[in-house]
Amino acid sequence: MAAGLGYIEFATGDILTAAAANGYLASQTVMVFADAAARTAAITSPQEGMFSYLKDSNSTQYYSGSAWVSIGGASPLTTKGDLYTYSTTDARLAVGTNGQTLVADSTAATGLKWAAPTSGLTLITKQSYSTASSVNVNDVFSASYENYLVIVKNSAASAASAFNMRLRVSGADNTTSNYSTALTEANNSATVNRYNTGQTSFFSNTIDQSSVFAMVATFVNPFASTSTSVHFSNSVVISGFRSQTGAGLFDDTASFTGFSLLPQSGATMTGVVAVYGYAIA
Amino acid sequence: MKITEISGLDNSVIEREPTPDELKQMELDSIDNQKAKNKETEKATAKAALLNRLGISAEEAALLLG
Repeated sequence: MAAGLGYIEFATGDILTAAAANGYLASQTVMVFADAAARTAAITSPQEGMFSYLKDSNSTQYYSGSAWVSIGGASPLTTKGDLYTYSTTDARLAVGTNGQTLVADSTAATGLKWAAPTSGLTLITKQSYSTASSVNVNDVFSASYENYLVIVKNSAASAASAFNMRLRVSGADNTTSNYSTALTEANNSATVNRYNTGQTSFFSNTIDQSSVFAMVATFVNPFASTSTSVHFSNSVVISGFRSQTGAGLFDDTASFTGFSLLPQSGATMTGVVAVYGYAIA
Repeated sequence: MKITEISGLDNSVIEREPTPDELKQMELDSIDNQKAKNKETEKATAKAALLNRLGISAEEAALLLG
């Protein structure tokens, strides 16, 4: 087989010689074969730059000068979220877990890995609730983070009421009498200090929710089997604006994965709750 | 009564009726809530009675304490 001769544009009257056919045409078309064996039988001296198509594998290959090489090759991707990467060959990188980000890592085979962010806040979940008697937020605390920022914002409430909060694990509230709360409320007529201990929930009827209500709370290490504290600041409108700021302590060794928001007196809440994880530095 | 369950694992939201255990806990919470309300009312009543005995208003008392 002649080597590829390059490109020619035949003019009227040109003679198509065997050399031209071999060098310009056969060597530079995509030749179709049933399989590699048929190609080997047909082309005993393949030339660099030849292309062929194999019907059995539906693959297009070129001759590198020493071997037939597939164009594109087979995809290594198999699963939702897979990334197409490269080590010394094409490689699959499986998707990480929720909240992880892709980072460069020269020690990883592909130079990439999924990992929890090492700085900043990561949104774990942000969901709406509507006319809820209670809102259970499950499986947001884990070993991926130590501390968590929780932001609650009501857009409506069936009635103003007291508002409690509990820690949860395995889909159930912890209702033991290990909750304490200390806070200061500033309202339109006074500043009030409130304190309670040995209660079955945070706040324990010392703060309120209404249709104009927001809470920003930081949970400190709730997943660890140690005591858990929450530091909160609430704004609420009930007969005027009130600010309620303080801290709660669950004074027992227990690991928690979530929390519940509990309006009292049969009231319901409508709004949004968001949970962020603080990166472990 | 409607309980909203939010999962941080798959970001799903499910609304459901409370279980018997949850209803029981709500009743206990309601009792605690009523006790707290009663305590607040008693405190407010005692405060009003004290102010009345002293012959000053709540604003004047706040000025004294402020």
